[in-house]
Amino acid sequence: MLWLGIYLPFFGLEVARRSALHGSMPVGSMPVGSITDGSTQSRSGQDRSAQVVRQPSPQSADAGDHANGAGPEVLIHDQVVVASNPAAQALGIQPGVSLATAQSLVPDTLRHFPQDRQHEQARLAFLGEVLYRFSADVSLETPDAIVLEAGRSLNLFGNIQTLGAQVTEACRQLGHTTQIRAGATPLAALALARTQASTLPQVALDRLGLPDKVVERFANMGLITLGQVMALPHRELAHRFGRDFANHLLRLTGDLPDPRVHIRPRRQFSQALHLLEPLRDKAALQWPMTRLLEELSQWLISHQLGAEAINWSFAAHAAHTRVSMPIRFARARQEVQTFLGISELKLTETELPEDVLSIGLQARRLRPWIGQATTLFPDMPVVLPGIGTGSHQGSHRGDPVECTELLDQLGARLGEQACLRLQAIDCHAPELAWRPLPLQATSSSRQPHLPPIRPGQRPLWVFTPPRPVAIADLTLLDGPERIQSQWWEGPVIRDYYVANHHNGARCWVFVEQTGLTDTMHKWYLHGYFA
Amino acid sequence: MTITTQTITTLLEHPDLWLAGRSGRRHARPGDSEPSGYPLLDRHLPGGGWSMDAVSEFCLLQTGIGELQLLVPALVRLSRKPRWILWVNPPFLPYAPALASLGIQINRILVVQAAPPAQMPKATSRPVPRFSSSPERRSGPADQSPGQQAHQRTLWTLEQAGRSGACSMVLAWPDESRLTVRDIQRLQLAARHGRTMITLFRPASALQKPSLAALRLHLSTGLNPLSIGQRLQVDIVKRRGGWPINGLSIELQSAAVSRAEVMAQLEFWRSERTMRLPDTDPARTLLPEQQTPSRVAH
Repeated sequence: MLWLGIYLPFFGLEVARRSALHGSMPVGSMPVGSITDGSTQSRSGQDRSAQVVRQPSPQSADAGDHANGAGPEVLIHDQVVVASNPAAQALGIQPGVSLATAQSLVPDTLRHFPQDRQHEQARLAFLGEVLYRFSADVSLETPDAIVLEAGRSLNLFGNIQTLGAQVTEACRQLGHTTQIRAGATPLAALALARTQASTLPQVALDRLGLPDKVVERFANMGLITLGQVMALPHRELAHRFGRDFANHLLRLTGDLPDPRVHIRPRRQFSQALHLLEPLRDKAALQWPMTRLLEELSQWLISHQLGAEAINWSFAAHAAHTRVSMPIRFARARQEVQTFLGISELKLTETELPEDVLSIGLQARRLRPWIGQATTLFPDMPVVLPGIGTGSHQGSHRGDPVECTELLDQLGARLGEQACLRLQAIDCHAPELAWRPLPLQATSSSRQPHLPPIRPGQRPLWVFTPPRPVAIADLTLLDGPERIQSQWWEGPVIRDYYVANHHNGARCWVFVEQTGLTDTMHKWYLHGYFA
Repeated sequence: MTITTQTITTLLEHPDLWLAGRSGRRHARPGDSEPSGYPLLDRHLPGGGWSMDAVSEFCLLQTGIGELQLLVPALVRLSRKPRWILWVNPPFLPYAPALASLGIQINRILVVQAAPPAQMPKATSRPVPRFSSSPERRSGPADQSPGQQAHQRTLWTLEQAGRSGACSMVLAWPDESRLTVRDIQRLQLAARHGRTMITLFRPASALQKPSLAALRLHLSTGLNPLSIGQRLQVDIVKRRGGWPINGLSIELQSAAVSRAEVMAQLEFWRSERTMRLPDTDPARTLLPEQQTPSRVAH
């Protein structure tokens, strides 16, 4: 068994900034690229030589999230600083000082965020689900760490370094700085991740999360590191410091089993962002939407699902005006860029409330994810789903035909009702012999039974409804073909003729047999043979 | 420096070189053109068929003279390949049973009405800012009338369809009053990018305007409206690697009735007409046995 401890050193700050930035962000000017993982990296970089599996990632594509080090920032609870970012620490602001002291140290540029425990827990649970794709056994260590069992995932990921790098990258994309270490037991992995010590005996006792009293008693005895304590006889330790502490040590070393509560991922995706200040610009919506979509994408990947339909909801004030924007896709999707592109198209066509205060995103119609139908050899024939066995000619250069992409785009921008597919129906009444199919309908490979008409017996263009036409303009060529309506729809009898209009068009005209005298007959143009 | 036959042959193989004696068929790569199915037309079309990576214009005086049947043989073949056939803003309803009876796989056909906006943006107190990525902003005309917006949607649809490569053929009926040379140039680029044949149906008056389409055809009916079968007069106004050709008379394959039938009935009609008074109703004179349906669906 190999465990991966993931410690999020600035978790509280990141969560608080995340929720605060949505609202306080000035419209139109997003904090782009104020990124530095680097500063935190260098802080912990001195012991990278050891078992460290984190990767430095100097360029972060994620805008605005990694603001660690952008300026001094602190997290406060009851007017006391509980966490500070590297920039604030460099200025001497340590956790424990009061907000007033901190502000006196850094008069102007200090930003402070209130701590939000509830939010942190929700976010940690979400992160746990994101990491669920790396391992089936993921457990949360509130408030700011996650442990996952890595041993059974090594076959897939190759080695622990690769797995660690991928975990780091996943967290970084979501805007979180991580310290990752592997260990033989969950507690050992966590202890190493928290303290960044190279081996377990070097771990400082005060970073283990032990009660302050215990740490102080050890300190008074001159015991600073875990190694010193573990060298002591176990029975006496248990006698002096209690069974809980002794068991903690045993679990740390693996001498006592450490059963953990593993997370169970949610079955549905429904997330909402509540902004502090309303957004009035559609362009500014892009950023929070991207963020929600990233979460959706992570969720879908970890569940091996694809979403065939998603639903946005934009609300001005929680209940007053709520606009929902459903989007459907021709096939199940996972990628942020696809979701975002189609959502943007749809957004231009959607009327939003004046001020958007909260944005919600739900995944509808989830489908098991089937891997991309990309071929290894681009020139090979591609058999697309729902099309049958037509072999695609190798003449098309570039990517394989991405049919559904276009359908999604058209459906989003023009509206679903603007696009239709056709279906022929075996019915002798001309108006009933076809049917529009919705865009997203799965095309059945089975060809429906077609009406027995000769090629060219019916016109290619049909007028709905038929137009009156003057018989004087027509030269009848063929007919009549008598067509009666279905008996239960009332007696309509039409005699159809093929005719040439004097302007050159070949027409399909009919005269209705109503029992009137011949001079009363009205002629109708029903189609062009074109 | 010696110029060998080999050098010249290599030079002549260059695709950009046009040889006056040939209509370009020699240099065509497979898939560059799709035979039209009308041998007379194929002989004169560059590459021996419809160009599959360019904009073609069909200019006609009157809808319904046979312009679709000119494309039917190509449509039959293209519909059996895994790409869409897109109809953008058709003036009437493409009739599914007729298309199917000609052998076209109608499940490959997609009809798009881009012009009448599905949901017009309502006038609000404050103009709603649009995404900068939206095509309206990109092309940037000040005119935002509903007609112009509809035209922009149409162009957007055509460009997406061409560029995506998901369509083998796009049949489009654009808004003639707003179509500019620049629009066609963009479509031409999109068609080449996605290897899509974009066919624009335009009125005959459009021939007076310049256009960057690779192929321009003027379609008109034969001289006699009573002509037997259905004939189409095709003038190639512009083509790649060739001069204009006028007066190709094409007999459409899928005429509404067989030739023999028409002949028989025409004979009958003519003989009847000479006997009747000139002001009589031609419908009745044509077919005295009107009460009996002539054909039973087989």
